[in-house]
Amino acid sequence: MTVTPPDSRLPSRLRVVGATELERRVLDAASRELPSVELTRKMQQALGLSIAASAMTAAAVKSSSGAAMATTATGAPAFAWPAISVGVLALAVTGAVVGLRSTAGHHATSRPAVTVPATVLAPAPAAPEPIAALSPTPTARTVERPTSSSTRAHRRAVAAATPSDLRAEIALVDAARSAVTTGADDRALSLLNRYDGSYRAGTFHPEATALRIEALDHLGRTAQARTLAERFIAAHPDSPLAERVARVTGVATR
Amino acid sequence: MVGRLRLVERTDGGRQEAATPPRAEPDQARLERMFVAHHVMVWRTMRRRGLSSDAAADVTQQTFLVAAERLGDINPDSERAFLVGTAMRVAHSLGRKTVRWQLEEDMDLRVADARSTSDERAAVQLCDLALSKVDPDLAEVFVMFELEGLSSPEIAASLEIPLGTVASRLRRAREQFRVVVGRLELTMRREGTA
Repeated sequence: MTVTPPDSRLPSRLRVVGATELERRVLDAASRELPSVELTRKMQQALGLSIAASAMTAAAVKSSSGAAMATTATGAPAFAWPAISVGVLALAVTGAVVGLRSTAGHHATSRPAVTVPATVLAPAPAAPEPIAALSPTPTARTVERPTSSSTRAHRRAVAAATPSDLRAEIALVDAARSAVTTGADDRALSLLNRYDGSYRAGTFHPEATALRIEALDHLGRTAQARTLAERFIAAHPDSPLAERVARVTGVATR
Repeated sequence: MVGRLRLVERTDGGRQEAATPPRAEPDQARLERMFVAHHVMVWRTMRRRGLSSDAAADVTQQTFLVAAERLGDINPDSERAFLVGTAMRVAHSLGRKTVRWQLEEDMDLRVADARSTSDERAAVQLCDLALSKVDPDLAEVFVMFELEGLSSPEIAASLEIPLGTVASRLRRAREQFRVVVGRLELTMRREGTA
């Protein structure tokens, strides 16, 4: 699959030749969009990469393919979808890529199926059992990566709970999230009830509450959703999840 | 395979890692270089499919996990094609419901959300709105070529389609995109927001 850069078969890019003013503006803006610094940091951490901030900044500027470089990073809201934080911790705990075959049948090709962490694509299992590490169950102590400061951060993050607790917590929250995503909101609520009942001092209560608010909103229980949202935003005004909760319910952030 | 082994080693502490230092270091360096060079492109390609910022980050993260496993199989000349193709597959596996904008949404409502293109963010939203009206198979070629600057062989490789198909999809995508942007412009003029 060698690729040669010269591109003689396609015409010039629309932005370069023949675009209207509006076309050029929207295409330029879209080509300059960048993930927030926070989001990039989370991706790096989840992958166990330790990359100097200066290198990332240079790369971000370089990768803005607009005609003029953006002076400000656009739009990307910095709120964290639960799967990100859950994914970060899951990687710290399992320390391994978990095999889960992609079922995208219409894209089945000679290329091997995508392998993704089950924590992110948990297919809403009936029981919290989507995580199957490829390696012996580690403990927080055995997750060693001496050169990686992000891994040290992972270790601190998981120090408060045992890995098996965290795995079960993650599985429940992920299952609830999958349920919300697929419209099974009643099921999501029952999973979240189970989570709240089982892990009173759980690590993912904010994520669970945000999911609960979303599920309630989907079910038309908007008054409940808004009440919870107001409380959530008051309790976590600076949480990235507050933005999402506010957007879902229409409650104003502070 | 090397990438997978290396990731697994992390759970076993320094014992195995010490046994295989020569292979692990270059792979890690390559993965970091690939991440620095291409993660924005992967993330942005997913954004243009209608994923939220964080969902796009999820897919990006998964894409690089796949890359970490398969570093040995990735030709240095086709890293972008591999990454964007993998990201597309990950996104497909998430299901269309979470991947594309809800097409049934009324366009005028969406225009109302993006009142003016003087604002960078609003312009991005308008772009996404226009892309949501383009046939998905065509839109992905359009995004790769027009926004991310991939070459036609790269696009052909990542989508596993012939070069001729890339060209025809791009042509049709442009036609559709321009029709939609034209409609948007009319709507905005009518509302006095253009």
